[in-house]
Amino acid sequence: MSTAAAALQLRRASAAWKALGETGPIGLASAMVIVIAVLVTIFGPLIAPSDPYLGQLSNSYIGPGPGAPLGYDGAGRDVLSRVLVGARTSMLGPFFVVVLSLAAATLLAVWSAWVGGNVDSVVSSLLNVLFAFPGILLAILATAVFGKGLQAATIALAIAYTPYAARVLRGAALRERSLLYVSALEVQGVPAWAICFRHIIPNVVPLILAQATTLFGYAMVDLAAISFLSLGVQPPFPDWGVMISENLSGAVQGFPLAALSAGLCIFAVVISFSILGQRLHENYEARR
Amino acid sequence: MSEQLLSIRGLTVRLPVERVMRTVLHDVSLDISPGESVGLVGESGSGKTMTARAVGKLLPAGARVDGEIRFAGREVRSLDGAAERSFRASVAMIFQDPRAHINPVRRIGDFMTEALRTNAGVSLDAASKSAVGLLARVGIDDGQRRLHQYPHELSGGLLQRVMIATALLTDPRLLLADEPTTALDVTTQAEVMGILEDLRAEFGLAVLFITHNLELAAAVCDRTAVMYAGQIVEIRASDLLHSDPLHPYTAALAAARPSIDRTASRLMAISGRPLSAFEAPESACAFAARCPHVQDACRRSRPSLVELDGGMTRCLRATELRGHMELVANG
Repeated sequence: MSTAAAALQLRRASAAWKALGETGPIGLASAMVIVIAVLVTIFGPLIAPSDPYLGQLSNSYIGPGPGAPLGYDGAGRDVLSRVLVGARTSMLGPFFVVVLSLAAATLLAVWSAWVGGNVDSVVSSLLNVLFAFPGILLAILATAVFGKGLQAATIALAIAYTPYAARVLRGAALRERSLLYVSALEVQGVPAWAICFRHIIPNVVPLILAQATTLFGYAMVDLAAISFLSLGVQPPFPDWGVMISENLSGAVQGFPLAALSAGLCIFAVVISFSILGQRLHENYEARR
Repeated sequence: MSEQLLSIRGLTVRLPVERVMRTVLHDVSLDISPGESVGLVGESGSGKTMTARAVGKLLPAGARVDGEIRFAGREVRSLDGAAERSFRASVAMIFQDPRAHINPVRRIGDFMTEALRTNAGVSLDAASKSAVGLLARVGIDDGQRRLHQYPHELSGGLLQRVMIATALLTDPRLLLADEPTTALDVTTQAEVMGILEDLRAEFGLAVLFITHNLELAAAVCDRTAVMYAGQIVEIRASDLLHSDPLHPYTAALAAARPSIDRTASRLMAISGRPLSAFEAPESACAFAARCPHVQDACRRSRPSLVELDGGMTRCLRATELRGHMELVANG
């Protein structure tokens, strides 16, 4: 392979880092929180100090002490271990919601923007109808039909979130479609799929990322709410939503730490994603 | 007609503008034979670019097209699949603003080789090599380095040369050049025109050269077609366009051009304002309102494009006015 060809294959991977750097100190702090949350998701069960399922009722609602920095929950289980292990479902659920809904939204948006005309009208109308269903209602319906659990709720939320992302992305794709470089590629005979996947989608990636971070926060709150209603992740698995639900009585009785630690985890992750998403979106719009 | 490379017959294009279909091209007929260069001149909005976009299958969605466009004997509008890809390879297009026509976040090399790699299955290595070769032909010697650069790192003139080299990569037979030099300064313009001329001779390329510069078209093209209000009003061998125009509009344009060997206190102008294609009357000559030779007959029916002494003209009085028009325009 010639040097020309070899160098052409080097893509600029630094673009993502640059976009992150432009979000400022608060954006970077949010990114840090997210990175920590992701690490906990991956390594949580390995670093948990004790068994998250093994409880001693004599420890019920005992506050922080040696060996248990966050104390014990109502069943006498170590709260820190439960929070660390619970990250699995609490983080992965929203992750799949975001991946599924953004994949569907991107394909729909680029397709309808490319073809235009009647297809665009029909897709837009369908999305508008979908807007009428609140995500959490759709998820509750799905658990009623397909049984309790994370899977049904995740898919239902992914469908409910698709129109939000698709509407924003369609606008960006339409703008990109009308740019002259697209005509230049068309006239060279580059097929439509290649123009869409190699040019239009990469050029709206910043917006896709911004949408991903915003939606992640919403999905996390909604999934936690569904688990809280005991329709999602089932006890004894320590999903953060489940933990809040389980320890609500303790919080009322004056032992808030067990419910609060799970709640604070959700709060920190959601706020971080929200700030980061907003910054990324603002920077994308500012560049237009 | 089979020897024609491109043959446009009675091309009429209507575009939806706020739910009303507006005519942008009316009854355009034009032939280009292999290796020939044809100029297409006219004012802004006269339909030059629309003609090229119709040939290049780039009309916006919802456009209504009548008439036929044949390339190498085949109807262009019905091509699809493999036939369309081979048509795309045979008909290349370059544009007025090269900077707007390249994805700004991709390297020059990506842009140049994409069509070859995707459609012809040429390896990146081979495609890069032919790209460097063609860059050298358009006067860019350090092509290897240019392939790694981004569009913003190149000047407008360089970028237009890159566009030309890219257009030639698929070995086309027809080049649609849509005002390729309008956005460039005059010296660069001359260079780019020189390159186009050399390449045309070298590759036996037919060129449809669109410009609003009558002089430039006449200087570089074998024949020149003049457009007014979405219609072709005259097609003439370029060397006869100024000395022996067939249509009053061409004559008026020629008279209006300033000359360096004449001193004039005022520049000549054509009275009235140019019409858009959709404003052109259905049953009158489009130029009637501004024509110094207008008669009642001109306002009653739209003249058709007729042959006259090797050229074509869309004027009722063409025969009687011939040779007398510049006098009137100057008077």
